[in-house]
Amino acid sequence: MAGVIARRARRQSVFRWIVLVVLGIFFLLPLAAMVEFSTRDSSTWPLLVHWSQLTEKYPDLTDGILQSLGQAALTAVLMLVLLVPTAIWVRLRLPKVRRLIEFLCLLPLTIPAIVLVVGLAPVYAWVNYFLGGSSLTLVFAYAVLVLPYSYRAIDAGLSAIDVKTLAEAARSLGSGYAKVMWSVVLPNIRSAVLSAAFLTVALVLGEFTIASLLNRTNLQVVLVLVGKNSATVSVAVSFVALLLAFVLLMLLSLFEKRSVKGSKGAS
Amino acid sequence: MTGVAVHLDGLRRTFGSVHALDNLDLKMEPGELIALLGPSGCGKTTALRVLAGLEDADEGRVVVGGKDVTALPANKRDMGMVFQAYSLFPHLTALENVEFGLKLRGRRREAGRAASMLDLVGLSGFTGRYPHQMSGGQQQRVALARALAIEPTVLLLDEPLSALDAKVRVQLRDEIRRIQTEVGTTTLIVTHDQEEALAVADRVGVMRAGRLEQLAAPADIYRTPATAFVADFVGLSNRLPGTVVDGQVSVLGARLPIIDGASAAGSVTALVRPEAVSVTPAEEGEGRVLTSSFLGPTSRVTVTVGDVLVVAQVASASLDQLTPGTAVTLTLEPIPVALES
Repeated sequence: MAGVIARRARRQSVFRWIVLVVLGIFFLLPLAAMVEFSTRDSSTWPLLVHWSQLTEKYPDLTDGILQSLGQAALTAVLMLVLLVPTAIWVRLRLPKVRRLIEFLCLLPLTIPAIVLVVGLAPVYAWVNYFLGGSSLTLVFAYAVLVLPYSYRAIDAGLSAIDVKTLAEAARSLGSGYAKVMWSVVLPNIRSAVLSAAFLTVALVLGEFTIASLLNRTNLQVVLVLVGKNSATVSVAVSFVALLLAFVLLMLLSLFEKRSVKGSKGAS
Repeated sequence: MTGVAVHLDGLRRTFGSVHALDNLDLKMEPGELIALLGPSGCGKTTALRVLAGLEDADEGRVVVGGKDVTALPANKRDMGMVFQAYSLFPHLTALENVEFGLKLRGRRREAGRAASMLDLVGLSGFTGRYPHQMSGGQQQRVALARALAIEPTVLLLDEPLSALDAKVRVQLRDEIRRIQTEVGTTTLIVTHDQEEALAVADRVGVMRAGRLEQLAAPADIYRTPATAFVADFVGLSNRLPGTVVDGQVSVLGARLPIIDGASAAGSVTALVRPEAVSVTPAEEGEGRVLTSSFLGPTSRVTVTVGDVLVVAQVASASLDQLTPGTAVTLTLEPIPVALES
């Protein structure tokens, strides 16, 4: 009996390693190919670490990087400002509309980006009229685009605590609603808020369709353009962007692990 | 800290078609501890939440210390509250939790007030602990200290012990009473545990369908229940068939005074407490012991008399003589009983 169990455990262990290796090859091979390709031109990587030279040689590329970083930061801020108070308020005062809000927030997931653009185009005609054609105006579209992911993250954070009781306890001690949100709820969903922000940044850095079709600039749009002149630079920057997203997701899982560890304790 | 009088006048609150509060009146004396007791859905928690300002009444007034606070939001009412669910802020230590209300009042630096409150609830060594590092009982103690730290006009306890295990519950229940007596804050506790209500309260209010059925001292609630519902809900009662004769009820051959039997007549059901029934072994007795349960100092014996089942409370010492099948006679003490028509 013990021999059978040991054999089975060994087989499972071997199977796990095979899966890990196959998946590792599947994900790492393209990355290795990117590195290999981008190093064929020996001037590519040195250029990337010299911002001034890069700006001189590929002004659109540095502009695209800055635009994307600006869009990512502003989208994260806009998303948090809109979503966190809304999600808390719905939990506290409007529990009946929670399903509706969830449905609305998940809608962008079911609508293809190309269809979204068709709807957004006339809206952006007005945005152009009032705010000009800056690429940073994409944050409005992106704030909608990231809703499904960020809503899920924040909602999961709120589900992990008894928002209603905590808010009522704070109110009975003399807190107004603003204080309840800022001093009681927000500190307890910090990791969820960070998750939502990281996901937003990762998503915005990889967005191409909406920016391209609305004639705005961001990293992905510029990469396509640069790729036509210098494929190695384009691939090298794509590689860095991928690594950045990877690091962000690693940080996210690290924060989640820390918050799980923090919430465990004596009964 | 001195208590203030609290008046709930004609409170009404409906949720859809359900009347959670139906013209509820309650007057609390300064420093008094009242327990609201009743079955689930009787409106006791709604009454407490309306008093706290966490729920709005459709009609009626809430007057605290002579001041109408009906329109005031919860954060302006100056009431301390302990909840059924653990409500400590998870990101703050025990001391920071207690300081929370003081900070809002700009009294954070008031020489060690938060620490002395933790001392009052017996947790002076736990100041740096986070809620997840404390047991349920300790968390509820900190919640009590936090509620008391702000020197509330009224202390509200919403089933604060229901999530705790039996031993801790009894211990903390006694402590709540001690602390309440010490600080003298007018206190309303809501519970569905009758033992808890009878043990801690100056007066107990038994609620049913949004109304107070009876508000009286614990002993009066138990001994002279105003209605059959109160008699049935508080403590155990035998439902025995009887007949009203000359203002008394005849049950199993005994004549018992009636609590509220002025209008009752003919066949009725009398609610007789198990401790009012004495069981004596007798060969020619009309009853037979069906079951007997040992409960510690006292025991419970179930006796059949014809079709009627009678539960009696007996001294455990006499349990040996009352084994199942023993023939017995029953004697009912002439304690006033409630009638169910």
